[in-house]
Amino acid sequence: MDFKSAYKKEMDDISPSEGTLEKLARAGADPSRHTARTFWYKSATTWLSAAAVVIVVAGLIAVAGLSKQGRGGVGSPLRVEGSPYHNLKLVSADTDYANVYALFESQKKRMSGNYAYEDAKGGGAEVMSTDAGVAEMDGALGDSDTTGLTDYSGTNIQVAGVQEADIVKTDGRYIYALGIDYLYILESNEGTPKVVSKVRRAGERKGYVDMGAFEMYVTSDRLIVLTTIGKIPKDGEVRPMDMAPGMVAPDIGYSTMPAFFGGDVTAVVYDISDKSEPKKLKSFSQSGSYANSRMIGDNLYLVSNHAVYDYDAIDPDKPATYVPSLAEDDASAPVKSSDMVIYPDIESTEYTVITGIDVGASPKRISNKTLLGFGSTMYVSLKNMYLITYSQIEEPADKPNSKYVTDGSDIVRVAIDKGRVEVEANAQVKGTVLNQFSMDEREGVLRIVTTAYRALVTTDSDNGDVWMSTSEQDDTTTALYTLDSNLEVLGSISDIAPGERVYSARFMGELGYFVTFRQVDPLFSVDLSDPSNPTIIGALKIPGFSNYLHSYSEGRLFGLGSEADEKTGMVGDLKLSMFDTTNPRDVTERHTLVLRGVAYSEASYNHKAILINADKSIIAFPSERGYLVYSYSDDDGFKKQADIALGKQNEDLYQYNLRGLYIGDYLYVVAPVAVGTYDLKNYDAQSLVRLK
Amino acid sequence: MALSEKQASSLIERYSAMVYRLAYSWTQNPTDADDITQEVFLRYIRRAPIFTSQEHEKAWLLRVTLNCAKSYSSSKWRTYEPVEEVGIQPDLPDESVLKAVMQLKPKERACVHLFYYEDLSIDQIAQHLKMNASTVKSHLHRARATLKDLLKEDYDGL
Repeated sequence: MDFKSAYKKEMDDISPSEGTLEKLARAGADPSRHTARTFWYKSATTWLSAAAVVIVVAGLIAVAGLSKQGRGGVGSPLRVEGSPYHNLKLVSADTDYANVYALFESQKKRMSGNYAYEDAKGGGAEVMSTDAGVAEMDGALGDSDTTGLTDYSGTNIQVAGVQEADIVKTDGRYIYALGIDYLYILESNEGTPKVVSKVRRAGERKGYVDMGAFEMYVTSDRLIVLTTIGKIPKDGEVRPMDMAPGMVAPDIGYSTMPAFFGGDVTAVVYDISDKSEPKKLKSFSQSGSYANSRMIGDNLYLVSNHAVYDYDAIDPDKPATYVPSLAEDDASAPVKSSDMVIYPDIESTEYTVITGIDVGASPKRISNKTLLGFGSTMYVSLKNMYLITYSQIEEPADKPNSKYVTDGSDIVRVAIDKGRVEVEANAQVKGTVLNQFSMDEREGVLRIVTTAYRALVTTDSDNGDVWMSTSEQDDTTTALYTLDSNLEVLGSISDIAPGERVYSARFMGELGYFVTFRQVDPLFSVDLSDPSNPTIIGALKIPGFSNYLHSYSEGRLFGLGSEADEKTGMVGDLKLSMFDTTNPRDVTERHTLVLRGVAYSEASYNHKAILINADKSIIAFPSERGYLVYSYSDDDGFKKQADIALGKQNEDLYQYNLRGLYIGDYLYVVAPVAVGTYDLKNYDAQSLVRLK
Repeated sequence: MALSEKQASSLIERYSAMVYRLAYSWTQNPTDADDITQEVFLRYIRRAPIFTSQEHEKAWLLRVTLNCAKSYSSSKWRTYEPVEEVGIQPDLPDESVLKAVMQLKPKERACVHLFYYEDLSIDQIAQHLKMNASTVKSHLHRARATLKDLLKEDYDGL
């Protein structure tokens, strides 16, 4: 008998259990619900060299006694002294990439027999992809002569003046929408929009699979389209996946899946002074997959993550084979070694490329800095970009062949100014952030709230296999830090809500609010008026949790989240909450509404999918099947105003990637294939334009 | 942005068995394999990565499965447990080929599974397991030798 057939025959009988398939099906419907309980350990060799580990451990032992609030356990110490990340060192000469090349050589040697595969960069603590915090409804994109005094909604951004990319934009008169094959520009035309021009989403580039545009920015006369491409593999033909449009993958959560065979991110700048004829001005590319971006005024800051896959192709005389490249239109060159920031003790061969591009009168790239490490979560204020890279902190354990490994965040502060980017400070703290709303800068102080997982890692001395165990009860904790401009810790609160993790956070001036959850959701209020002494001043325990917090109006904090069973922690339907924060020490839940039958909304983990305006009393977001509009009043609470379905039940393309925006008296609901218009008073349908 | 419900269920239909079987071959434990399968799909569903072909999608899934399986501990609440303490499908006969494979070391099991079940080439296996091709070959060689000893019957292809 043939071994292969015998093995196949027996393996074919092995299948996942019904229970698992059911869970997967449910998770498919609502990925935000699932709680990942396990912690994925990354091999230490890829992040810390042996020397660095010693430094870290020694430092931890030294600092352990200095923790202000230490109750022992994961909460202390607050800051890893002697972290290898403290030594920022620039590779010196312009043409000398020797230090960088050396890293690849040693990485290549280490790769054989090394199991810990880095591909899924969520090879770290998997936090729920939820999104929360203060978001300011961007009222105006800037002065625009075409809009006059029309009232309109902008992208729901975190920091006023710091634009974030999205799939739909408006300038108060025109609507810009990413469709299936094209990016459409429509004139809103007072409730009967019409397409005035369109731009192909994907271009034609030989040897490349152009994934097409995935997000954009709009200013008064510029349209900046972000696109990504992947290279066609050497062997095998490319069969483009049957993926719905707009579903390109910039994962602005914790870690980014690199484009499969390496690729570029490109910002294409169009002149749209004449909306009926967008003119392509210039394109700016950088190696890697899209990590994140922001725009301040006319300056675009674009961040990508680049990993080198093909070690065999590395040629010491050709830096482009192992360092990222930048291109302007078709001219490409590797990043300058003087713009590279490498850490002598870190053997990482993955890069984060940060560029500043002026898209104004004469578009040009102003500056670039390339760092080691895969940072993608970032918080950006008007002056600084704080980029987070996942890392791990090791400490000795009192068991044989064992050590404690805790999730950590490497924070880099990059000063940004009119397109210039400068790396100025870095630090490593314990814990990971949920998303951009877990951070906030005020008067030069960075406030950051984290969740830390600690695992016990044991190595089998026989075969080198690594096993780890975690006790979720004991080894998960939440902490809040305040850091100065050198990223030195000013104050902290550690070991908040042990066994729980952060589900949402929001900083508002001198106050901070955040939600942790395991079975019950405490909403903590934090007094941050003295950065050296952050203090919890209140904790409201309510069932369920919020994924997203938004400052609705004075003394009113809105939360979008889910209900949950108090005993089991099982997550249920979507829930809207309005908290009364007039007295932060005694926050109450003034109104709440569970949306029966609605289990999922993109808005739970993507803040750009929600539209909130207290003046118009609108709280609107997509559901699983359509677009929901609620109003709020202190007397009557939440009331459903509209449940909008642009297409029929089974017409997928009308049901996802939805965005709502208002211009003047109308609400425009945008799907990749159509724009529906509704009047703002009673949500009567006005028109439906199909995007072809 | 996540996948739509339809895309997610078609994905699960296509790949859940493949992921589960690889996870099972590594952990030798149906419960752990279930957990790993869930984790793998969650990552996919939440990240919705772009693939240039189905081949690449499959390769990504296999890699993530291996990564998860490698990190996964069979005991979440207790500390290190000896590797032998695993549950195999109870109704496997003694002459079961699968039972014999389960007695190999994890790396050898993975090589055997990817080679004989998933029909990957040595180079592909080397890429997935981050090894040299020659290391893969020696794992397979040792696996075959061990299996020959363990299996009473003579099997072709060993």
